[in-house]
Amino acid sequence: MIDAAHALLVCFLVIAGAAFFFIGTLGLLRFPDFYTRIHAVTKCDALGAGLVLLGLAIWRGPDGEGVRILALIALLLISSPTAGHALARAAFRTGLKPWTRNDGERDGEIPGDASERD
Amino acid sequence: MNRRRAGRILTAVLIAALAVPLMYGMVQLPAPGHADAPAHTNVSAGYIERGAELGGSENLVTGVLLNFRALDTFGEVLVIFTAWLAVAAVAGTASNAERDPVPPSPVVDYVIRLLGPFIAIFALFVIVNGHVLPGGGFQGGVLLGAMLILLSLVMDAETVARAVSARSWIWLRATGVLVFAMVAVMGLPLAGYLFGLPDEPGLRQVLTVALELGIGIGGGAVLAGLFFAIAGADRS
Amino acid sequence: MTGSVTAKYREMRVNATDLFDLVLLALLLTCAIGIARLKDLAACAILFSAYSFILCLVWAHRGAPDVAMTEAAVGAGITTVLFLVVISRVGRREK
Repeated sequence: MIDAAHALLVCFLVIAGAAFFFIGTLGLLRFPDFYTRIHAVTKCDALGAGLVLLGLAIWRGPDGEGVRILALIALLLISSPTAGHALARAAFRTGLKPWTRNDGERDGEIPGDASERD
Repeated sequence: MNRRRAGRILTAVLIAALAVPLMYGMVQLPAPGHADAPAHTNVSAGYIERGAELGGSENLVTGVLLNFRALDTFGEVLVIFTAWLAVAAVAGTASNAERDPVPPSPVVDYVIRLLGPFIAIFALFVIVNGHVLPGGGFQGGVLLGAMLILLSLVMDAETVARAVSARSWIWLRATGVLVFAMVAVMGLPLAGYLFGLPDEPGLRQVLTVALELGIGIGGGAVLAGLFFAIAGADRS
Repeated sequence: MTGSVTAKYREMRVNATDLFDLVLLALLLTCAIGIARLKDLAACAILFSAYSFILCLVWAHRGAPDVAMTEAAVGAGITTVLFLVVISRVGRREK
């Protein structure tokens, strides 16, 4: 009984993580510009990978490897949003303009393209 | 036009001439992963059976790298040191890089300062445990170098490059080569031949860890040096 | 001759583990072709980093953790950083 609940919990967490990855990748492919895409992808990194790893940690139980996976989750939760932030900030600082509804189907322009700046 | 066509035909003929013997050889190879393949029955079997005992480290890969194939590893250490020398000779004298006008983000700054010590500890762990666990001097050295590069992103490359004096940087970068050469020469009296590690287990352990540390510190300093030289912060 | 070869390959089981490797190898091939064809050097560097990570997975999966660690640290980490620094110095378009 306990075993079944344990396995079920692990399955739920891993599948939820995979679902986040799916949604994040869908966003990466479908969103119109850099900022919206990175918005989608950072969720997939932090939550998707975090949930999958949490599932694995629970599957291993409280032995050495489980604790190591928990440490990995902590590292992931610190580093992944930071990387997203740094990327978005770099794009903004080099003059990439966010997509607006007026842009229609047009994609964002190449970062650092001075002629497009205000 | 005609010449180009002749060239293409010649290329195709040469590729075919090379491909046919290669394919013939491929077909003769034992299936991948087959336990009866000669590669798994002679040399590998010997290493797996007696490598840990003869090489002096539980991690067979480290034993092979630092003991059985020490000359090869010494060559690798020399190569990365020479790579830094070459880059420094070309780029190191180039005048200073223009200062980045954008200050580092406070978030990135905080996170890198927070993670820096952990990365350094992990790097040391990987280096010192190279003879027991996967990893070793090269891997740990790369982690050390990556930490220095990360720090130089938020702390201003100049500060990191000047944390140690220019002369000490050169010695640090030469650590791998120097330590390895020293251990190699020590092999003459201790084991009877160059690059030999002594049979006495304690001493062999100490020398193995010393080699790993030398390779790690030297490798890390070389990689950070490559970054500094190309980014223009190195004035040594 | 040929008969023995096919028999030899028939006894290799194609199981889930091999399938995982095959998927990874297909990804590797895609990355390699992309690197060869792209004109944007910065994109090439990033793709090369992805290539190294996939190769790292192959090594780890094939039971070579030492090589996997080296591949992740050197191939995906430091090499990409050095490539990007050089590209920031020489311009990102292939001439």
